[in-house]
Amino acid sequence: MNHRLIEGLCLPFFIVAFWFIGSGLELWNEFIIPSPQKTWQSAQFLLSEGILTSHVLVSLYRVFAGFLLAFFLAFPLGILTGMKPKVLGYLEPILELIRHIPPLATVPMLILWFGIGETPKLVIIILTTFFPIFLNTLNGVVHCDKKLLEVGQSFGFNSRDKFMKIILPASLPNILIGMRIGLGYSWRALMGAELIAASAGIGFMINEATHLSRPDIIIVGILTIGIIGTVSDHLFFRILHRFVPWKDEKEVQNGGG
Amino acid sequence: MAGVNIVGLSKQYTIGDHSFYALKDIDLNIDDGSFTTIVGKSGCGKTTLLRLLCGLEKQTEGTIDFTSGKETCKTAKRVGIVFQEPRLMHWLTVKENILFSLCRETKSAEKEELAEKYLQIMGLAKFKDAYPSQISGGMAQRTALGRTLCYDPELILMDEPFAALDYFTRKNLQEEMVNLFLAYGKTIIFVTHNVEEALFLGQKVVIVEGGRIIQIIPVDFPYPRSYTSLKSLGILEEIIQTINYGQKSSSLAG
Ligand SMILES: Nc1ncnc2c1ncn2[C@@H]1O[C@H](COP(=O)(O)OP(=O)(O)O)[C@@H](O)[C@H]1O
Ligand SMILES: [Mg+2]
Repeated sequence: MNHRLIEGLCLPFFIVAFWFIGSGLELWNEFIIPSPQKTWQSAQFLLSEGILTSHVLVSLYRVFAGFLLAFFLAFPLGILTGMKPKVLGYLEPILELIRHIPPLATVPMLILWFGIGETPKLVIIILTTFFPIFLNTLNGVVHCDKKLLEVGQSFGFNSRDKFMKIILPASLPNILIGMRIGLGYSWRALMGAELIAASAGIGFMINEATHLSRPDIIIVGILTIGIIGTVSDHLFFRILHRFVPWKDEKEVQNGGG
Repeated sequence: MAGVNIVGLSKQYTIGDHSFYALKDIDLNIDDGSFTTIVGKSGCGKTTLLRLLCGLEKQTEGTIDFTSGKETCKTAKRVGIVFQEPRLMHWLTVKENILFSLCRETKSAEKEELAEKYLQIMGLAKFKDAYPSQISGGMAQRTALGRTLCYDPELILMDEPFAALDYFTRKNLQEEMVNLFLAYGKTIIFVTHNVEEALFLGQKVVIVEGGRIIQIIPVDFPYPRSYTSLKSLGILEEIIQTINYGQKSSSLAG
């Protein structure tokens, strides 16, 4: 085992140990913080009955669908506004306003309009994911090095060549970073939305557990959210690294913050 | 291949509400298959001239005609430029950068062949899969030159391409430039602020000062040249004097 892994495992180890000891000594009420054993049993039960998996799949499906929709809105719009500053002039004020509204604040409105079905969740994810992808794409296109574009010009490239061979690859790291941030945001926003109104999904499972006074299930749900978020971000980072091998690993990692 | 005929060329820039000429009344004739160097202080308008020649900038007055044999036309079919900075695409490898100018339809067999050829010429074969961030400044500038050569230009413009390199790398590349010129006989216009470099390379040295050509010196010394023999010609001091104190009635005026 390497040093970093050991260092990284220290704190979780102490927290779990504290949890064990505290529960064993009954330092707190079982209904507020369930014991690790109880939580573990619940986790096993939820898994073996397929309950956890089905909720996870519902949530993942929502994130996936919403993320794709957001991408197909934000990416072309980012490219368009980046290439045509005139269009940006029309869109900027309204986008700026929307950007400052936390998507969760729109949930009551969305429920009023779309009920508690799938639509409001997709809308929430689109609202949260749109801006990181849009703004990073725009940024990448706008800040594409004019000097590199001149190289294309000197070779007599048409606009299509300039876009495909210079602008797009030059802004690819920005676009991917926007997608990575968007993915993280959408996951968080979805949990919020599912807590407020849903009939399935991890957020719903947690909310239902609250009504049933099952803190063990709540803890399982929260940890599941954390684990899935970490894993998906890590996977995305791997993909990102494959697409931009010329970038220094540190640079990509920092950009993802 | 192409020669260039420049008549009354001027370029005006405006910064704020103040306009000035970066180039003024340039008359210059570049022969087909010749090696011309343009030398002058920083800010004298050298880059502006090259940018006008490759169409990155539009002239305020005057004409640029490209000649090819007996034909004359307003735009050359292929003008390649090597910038002062390598300007490589940092997401492409050395090899991919060299092939950058090729259009999508180029067959991959042809691409391989061209890549091999220019990697070989520029001595980059070992670095073909490296990214620009992984190679030295000299290698990067070689790649940029390879990229321009691969475009197969009729006229090659070079804007102080070796200015940022160390003495040894620069010297090396200067010698290679001469070899390339002798081997392929392309028309080359090479801009530099280094008088020695201008003399080492050019068949004709054009001295620019304040946006005007103040002197054109033919250098009939055969290639390959050496720095020492050039010094003995005594032109070096002459050029430095001319740039510093303006044109004198010189016997060398061409
Ligand atoms: N795009 C521009 N806008 C305004 N002024 C410019 C621009 N490009 C060059 N200049 C000015 O024109 C003059 C000549 O510049 P340049 O041709 O780059 O000189 P050199 O290459 O000889 O150092 C300089 O005074 C420079 O500041
Ligand atoms: Mg310059």
